[in-house]
Amino acid sequence: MTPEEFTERSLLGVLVREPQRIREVGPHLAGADFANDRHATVFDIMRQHEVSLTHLANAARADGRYQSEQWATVLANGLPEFARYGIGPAYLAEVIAAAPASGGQPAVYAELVMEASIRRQITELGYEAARLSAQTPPVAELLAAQEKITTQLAAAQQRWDAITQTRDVRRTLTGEAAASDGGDRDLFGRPVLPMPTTPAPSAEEVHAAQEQVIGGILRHPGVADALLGRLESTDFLDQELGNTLDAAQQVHAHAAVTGRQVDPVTVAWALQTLPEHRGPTPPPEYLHDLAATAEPNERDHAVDLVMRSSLAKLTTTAANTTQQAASHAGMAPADVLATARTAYQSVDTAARRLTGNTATDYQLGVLDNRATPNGAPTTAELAGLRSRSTALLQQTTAAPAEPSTAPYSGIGARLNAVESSPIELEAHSDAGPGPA
Amino acid sequence: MVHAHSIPIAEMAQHLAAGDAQAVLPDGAAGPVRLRGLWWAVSAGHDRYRPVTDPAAVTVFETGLARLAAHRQHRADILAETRARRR
Repeated sequence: MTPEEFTERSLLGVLVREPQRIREVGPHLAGADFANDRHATVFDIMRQHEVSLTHLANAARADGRYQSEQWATVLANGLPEFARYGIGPAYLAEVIAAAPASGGQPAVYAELVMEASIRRQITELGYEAARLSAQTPPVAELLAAQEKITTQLAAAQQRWDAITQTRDVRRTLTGEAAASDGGDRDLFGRPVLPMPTTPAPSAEEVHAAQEQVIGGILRHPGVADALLGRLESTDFLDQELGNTLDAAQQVHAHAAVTGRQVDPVTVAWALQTLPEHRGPTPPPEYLHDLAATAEPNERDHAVDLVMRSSLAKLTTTAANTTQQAASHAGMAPADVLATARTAYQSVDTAARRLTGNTATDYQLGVLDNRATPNGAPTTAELAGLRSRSTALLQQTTAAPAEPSTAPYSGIGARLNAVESSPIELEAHSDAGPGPA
Repeated sequence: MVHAHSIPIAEMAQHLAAGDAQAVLPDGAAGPVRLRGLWWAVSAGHDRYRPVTDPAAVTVFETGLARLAAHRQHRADILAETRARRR
């Protein structure tokens, strides 16, 4: 399904589910703007019979016949116009099922449908109506190249800075590491790193958690507000989900200007504008399903798992980088230590981004006191890995740990606080009938 | 051969960014653009903006621009109304 078709279906889904919301669409959208003839017919009927449909919905709501399948039957039987055009209860129920679970933004969808219609007209006239990103691949390539160079320069700078502090690093290597560490030691006096107490979550578990997080972002504006600033596409194993996050961030960042809030339709639309080199993008119906199946009770656990998975991935990369540096015959100890410090600083930076605190705070288990399914500790699976990485970092580089200034209140509490605050949106949460 | 009255896409993007030009499609740099009282568009398969003289095309562009502007105003009104109701 194309984003255009998905938008049309989502718009009709909201309108058939809640006919009174055609008012939000306004007078400027016409049936002729729909690419799909059947969609056009349903819209024209809805527009023409707006008042009687609203009465019908109110009556159905009053006598308890407003569950989606029942409502589709009431609608098909209550308005002969539908039957005249071969539109029955089954089709109307299918249309209702296409409505976004969050309530939807009919005025935004109407604008998108109108844009697509104008784009088709322009193309028919023989003119280009492509989007900006599709027209400027050289710019995208330049940006990517520039980003790569900047990263390399930053890494070189960090390495140079680290190497010029060789005296401090040597002192660390010869004396302070042993003196500052009070943990268990093996027969040779080397620190024993803690081992994970429980197995790490499987790739399937992490993927399911990532789907839950994206579903939550697509469904609940409050979740988007809370999470979009701290997650990055690289936190996701699945490129489609990572790209979805990027598109959601794009919609969220421009919401104040465009008035388009994050939901499956607006994100599917924004996915079209991502540069092609970003890789695969998910089909719109997948986004719809993610939002529809987002389970609020699972969300805290899912967010926690995604964050820990990302930190684990970074920690593993840092460990590999350090090991490779240590094995390299041409690298002096100071260089190895500088490499290790740089690698583990990236873990710490990610931890700050994800949790708002340092990796050490996170590793200490400040998240572990939250309730989780089956009573299992949420961070125990990877706490050992983080423990080991932090201990390794402290031993090898003696990097000064930045003290935490505020206790971590937990993601759940933050999300609850955000969700309980009023949100200025056109979205109507659970305004209409859900699946029967 | 470069047309005497043509504008490269990149240059038109600068006009759009500066607010000198107005595009029918908000996301599109290659879509038709109104600049200095003229409509400009990129013909299929070309890479530069040229003036559009076909009255039928100009009508489509004008109508599209006006409809989208009117709809956006409607959307802003609805949003303002919703906010006022919540207060």
